[in-house]
Amino acid sequence: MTRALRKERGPTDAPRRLTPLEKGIRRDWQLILIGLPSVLCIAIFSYIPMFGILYAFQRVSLRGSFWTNEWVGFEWFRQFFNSIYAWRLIRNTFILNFWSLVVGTTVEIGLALTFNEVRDGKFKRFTQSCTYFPNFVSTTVVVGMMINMLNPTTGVLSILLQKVFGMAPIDMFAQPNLFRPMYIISGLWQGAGWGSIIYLGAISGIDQTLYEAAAIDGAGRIKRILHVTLPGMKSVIIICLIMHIGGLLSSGAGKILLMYQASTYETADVIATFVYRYGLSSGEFGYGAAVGLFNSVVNTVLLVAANAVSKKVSEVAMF
Amino acid sequence: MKIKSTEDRVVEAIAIILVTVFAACCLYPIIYCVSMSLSGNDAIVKASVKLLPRGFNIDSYKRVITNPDFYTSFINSVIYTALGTFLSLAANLSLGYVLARRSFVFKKPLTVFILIPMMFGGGLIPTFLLIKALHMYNTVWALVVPGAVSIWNAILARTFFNSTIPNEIVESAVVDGASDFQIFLRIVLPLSTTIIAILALYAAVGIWNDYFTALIYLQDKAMRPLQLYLKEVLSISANTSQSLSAMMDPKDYVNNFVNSTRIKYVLIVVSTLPIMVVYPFIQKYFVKGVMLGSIKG
Repeated sequence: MTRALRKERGPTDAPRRLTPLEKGIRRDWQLILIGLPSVLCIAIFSYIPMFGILYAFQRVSLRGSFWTNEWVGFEWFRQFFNSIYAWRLIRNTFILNFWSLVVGTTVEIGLALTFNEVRDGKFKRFTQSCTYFPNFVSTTVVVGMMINMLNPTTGVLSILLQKVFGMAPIDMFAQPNLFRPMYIISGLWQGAGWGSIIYLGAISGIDQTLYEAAAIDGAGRIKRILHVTLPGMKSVIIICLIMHIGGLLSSGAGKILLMYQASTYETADVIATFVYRYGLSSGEFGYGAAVGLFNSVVNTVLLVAANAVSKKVSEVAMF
Repeated sequence: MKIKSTEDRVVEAIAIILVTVFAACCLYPIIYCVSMSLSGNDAIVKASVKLLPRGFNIDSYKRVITNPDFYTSFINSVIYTALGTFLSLAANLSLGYVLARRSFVFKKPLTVFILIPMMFGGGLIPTFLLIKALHMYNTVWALVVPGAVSIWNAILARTFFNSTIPNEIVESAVVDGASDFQIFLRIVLPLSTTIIAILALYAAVGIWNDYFTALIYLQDKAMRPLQLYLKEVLSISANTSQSLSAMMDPKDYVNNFVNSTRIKYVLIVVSTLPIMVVYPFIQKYFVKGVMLGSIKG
């Protein structure tokens, strides 16, 4: 584009032929206008923060600006990696996301396979609707439900756990060892039904003649699930895994902020909540930006690596 | 010819049982919350509600609905959701349309431009400092503008345009001398009610349910959306919250426990009600959206 502009500013005495680019711009100027607001929005709110990672190397003061802040080099990184937090945060983020991914994907695939064995009709549509619904309940409400239903004296689930499993009437939200199971199970409630849609879509794309051929070869229903349905879902499963692996260190802070308290930081505090607490609430912007930058870089590396590995192993890749 | 073997029947029976159990688990907490919100004082004290309401009392509903903290935040949420959904539709449909035009002069650079942010982001702090620097902090715009373009949704719109609107229609319109604006507004959009519904619903639910953005960017209590209000009243330390005690009668010690418990369930129900009511009618659009997203375009 800059080249085109420069040419237009050049001597215009002699008529000259338009380059394809200039022709294209003249033809598509309306399209350019239509796309411009969104492109500007992305430039401002996605690209400028990318350069904002430089805050990680500054002592940020809200009175000053990017141009006047003092540069501190790798000071914040040094502080972070020498602190007791670094390892704890990386471990917690990874464990929480890893188990959410493993348990979540397994249940979603299992649910899709199960739904696929139920005949189409009202019953199937109704049960599916039920399993999708929790996805639309806000995190605030989900955690609110958990807090109330797991209340040791009045919560219906807590009373059930006490009666059936003989659990002591304890405040479950204060127990570090219960945080992960609670987070993951409530995550299943919220997302497993909704997550199964994509796998159901994959199943519906499988060639029906494969089932007929398998049936003729004497494969029973279970064998057909294992040897036709599952292999037919392979590429979708891989793509979903790649997308999630890129997020292994990027759990959003939203749900955890609502669920954790000081007594469970040991297992519940993740990078995102730490960045929120130190970077925003305590105003350590430079330090927070440094931890956030470390997180972003790891995520990108994970995503690219997962994509490369799957390209090699299975010839399925996202990009 | 289809004969059901024993294996077929067993597999189907197991599938039906599993699906029923899972669906019941998904539904139970919601039914329970509705029941608790309607139950009488006695049932709440004894924690005797298991599934259906016991006794009947809508006192808590009255207290919630007439509480100014509650209805201000509710109205705020309605405004933010309407505004945010409109902006998000405008941004994503237009970007999707440009991406869908195969001959667009900047097609390649634009594709790269939108793919990079999908792989790398600046993170919370740089974004926060940018919003501050733009003087958007503590304004409505911080909630609705930065999130308006969702690259994912723009790609969804592009996939829809590419897969449902035949290229010939667009080309013949070009031949007839229609401008790109006209093609977009008069031809493409009227044929795209499905994707408009999908994107509007995604945006609306996303904004309605989000508390985190408001937590970061809003300072004024009067501006906070419903979810941020809920965060205070439903949180682990809810019983010390001002907003909750504002709904209690300070002299009525006896019933404060009952009220505070039931009020929380009422809040859960009332804030989820808008989605519950429309959900049966709009569910198919959400599902279509996921299916569309899985088409690699």
